[in-house]
Amino acid sequence: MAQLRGVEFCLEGDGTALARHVTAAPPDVVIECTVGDASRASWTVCRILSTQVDAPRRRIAMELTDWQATFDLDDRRVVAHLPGPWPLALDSLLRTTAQLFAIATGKALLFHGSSVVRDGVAYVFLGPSGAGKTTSALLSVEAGATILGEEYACVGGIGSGRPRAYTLPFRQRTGLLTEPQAHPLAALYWLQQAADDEVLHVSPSRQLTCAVRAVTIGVRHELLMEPAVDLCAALLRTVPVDVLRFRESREFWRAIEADRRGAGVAR
Amino acid sequence: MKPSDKPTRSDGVTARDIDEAFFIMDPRTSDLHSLNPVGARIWELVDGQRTVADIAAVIVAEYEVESGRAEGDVVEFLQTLQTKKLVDL
Repeated sequence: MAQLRGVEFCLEGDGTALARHVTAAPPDVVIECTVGDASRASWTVCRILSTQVDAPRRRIAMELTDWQATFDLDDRRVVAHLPGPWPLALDSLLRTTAQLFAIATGKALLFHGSSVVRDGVAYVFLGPSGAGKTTSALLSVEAGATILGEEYACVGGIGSGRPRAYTLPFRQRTGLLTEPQAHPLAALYWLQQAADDEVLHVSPSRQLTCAVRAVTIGVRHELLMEPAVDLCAALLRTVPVDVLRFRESREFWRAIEADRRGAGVAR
Repeated sequence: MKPSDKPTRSDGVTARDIDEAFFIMDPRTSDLHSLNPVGARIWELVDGQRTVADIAAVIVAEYEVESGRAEGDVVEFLQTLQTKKLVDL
C-alpha cells in the first residue's frame, strides 16, 4: 500500500517486518521521510503533541514525540521526519498512514480489534478496552485457529462485496510479527463478557454504531469519520456485526459454530 | 433549557441518512447516534436561529400532536443531545 523512500538504509534493528510485506503492486501512497541522528536512551510512551486538519485542502499535520508528518489525502503523499533511526517510531508513522489512507482511498478499514483464521476464513473480534479482544484471539488458538492480529484487524475488499481480513506488517503488542496473509472475512463480533456463550443478531443501526466505534480513524475529524461510516455501512451489507456474549473459555466457538450452522453457512 | 433558547449544533458534529436510518456522527468520540424520524426532523430544525418554542411549533404542525406534550418532548430530546454534547445553547 505504501512506498517508503529515504529511511530504509537508516534503520537500525529490525526493519525486516516491513520488507516481508513488499509487493510489486503500485503504491497507494508515497511516504518521503527524513531521519535525524538523535539517539534514544530509554523507551518513553509516544504522545501526540498536536494535530491540525486543513479540511478544504484535505491535509492533516501531526506532531508526535516520535515523529512529525503532513498527510495529503488527495495527492496521497506523506512528508515525514523521524528525529532518529527508531524502528518503533517508523512503525507508529506507518500505522497512522495506514489508518488515514485506508479510509481516504476507500480500500480498507483498520479496526481496533483482534482477528483469527479458522478453517480458512477470518473472524474479527471488536469491542471496548477490556472486552476480551486479545483473550478471544488467544482462546481461539486453543480451538484450532491461528492469529492474524491481536491489536489491529484490517478488512479490505469492501467494495467488491467479498471482504477479506489482512495481516499488517506492524509489530503486535506482544512483539509478534506476522506473515503476510489474507482470508475471506466470515464474521465480525462485538464482544460482551457474560455468563453464557451466545451469538445475538442486532439491529442494523446498532451494528453500524458498533462497527464505527471500533474503527481506528487516526484523526477525530469529520473529514475521516464520514468516509469511515460509509465504508462500515458498505461492509455491513455483506458481513454483519453480531454480538458475541462469551465466557472466558474457548467454548464460545460452539456458539459461533451453532449460529453459522443455523444460518446455513459452511464452516 | 428555556423555550427562548436557540440551540446550535456542536462543532464538527454532522448527520447522515444511511440505509434509510438517520444518524448523528460525533467524530470527537467516534459515536453514531441513531435517531427516529421525529428526532431527525428536530435535528434538521436546530440551526441556531430557531428557538426551542419554534422547533416545538413545527413539530406540532407536522405531526399533529398536542402542543404542551410536543414542547415537553422537544425539550427532553434537546436536553439529551446537550448532555451528549451534540448541541450547544
